[in-house]
Amino acid sequence: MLPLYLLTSAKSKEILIELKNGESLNGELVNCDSWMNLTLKNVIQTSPNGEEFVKIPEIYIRGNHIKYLRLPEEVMDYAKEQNMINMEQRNRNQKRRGGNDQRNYNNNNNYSGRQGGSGRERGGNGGHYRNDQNRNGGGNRRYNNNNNNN
Amino acid sequence: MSDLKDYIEKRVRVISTDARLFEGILQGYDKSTNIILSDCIERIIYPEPEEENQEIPMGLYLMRGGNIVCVGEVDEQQDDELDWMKIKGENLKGTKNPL
Repeated sequence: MLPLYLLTSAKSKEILIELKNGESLNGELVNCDSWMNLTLKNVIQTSPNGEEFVKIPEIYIRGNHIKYLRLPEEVMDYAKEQNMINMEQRNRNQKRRGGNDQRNYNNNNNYSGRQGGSGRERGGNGGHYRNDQNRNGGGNRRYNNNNNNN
Repeated sequence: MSDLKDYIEKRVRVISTDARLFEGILQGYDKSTNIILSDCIERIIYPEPEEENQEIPMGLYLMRGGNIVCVGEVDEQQDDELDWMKIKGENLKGTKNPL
């Protein structure tokens, strides 16, 4: 299991963080991202020598400052459960889309219209195109699609 | 490329950059060597015989890759023969050298 996956399953749980400078923060995990930047709430910050304490309602921590995190043990079981559920859902989706799962290799589609461009149309047929029947619907895997937009 | 795949679900010992020794079951890792240890304990070994070694339970532990020096597999058989409370050793040094 990936560490960041475990961290994401620890949202809204109590965690303890030790920072590189030796400070420790105890609080509830609100959010995290792929760089391990975190937002916590109801935080108690302890100084490196363990003597001073500060109560902070909300704090943002930059991921590269973290030394380690301690999580409640239930998070492990919770994360494994989530993993199973996701696996089951994924399998179910695969089965459902089974018929339409077109693996399109080396498609050459010729459109008249704009190329690439705006986010909405990139990689798909979002914009105004004359040839709607060249749409690659259904399947999840598309390899080497050469969409030539004149 | 060598990775930690072979150590998953095994008991490992980790040394951190601040010269601490942790032991736990490796549950997961990623490209930056961030690791998950379950049933983690911190082992503090003292050089003098007067001070008793400590084993501090830490529970579920997520360690950031930047702070890891090494990860080693624990040989369960050999480990049982050792009494960790009696073993003495010099303190490890941290990796950050003071200028």
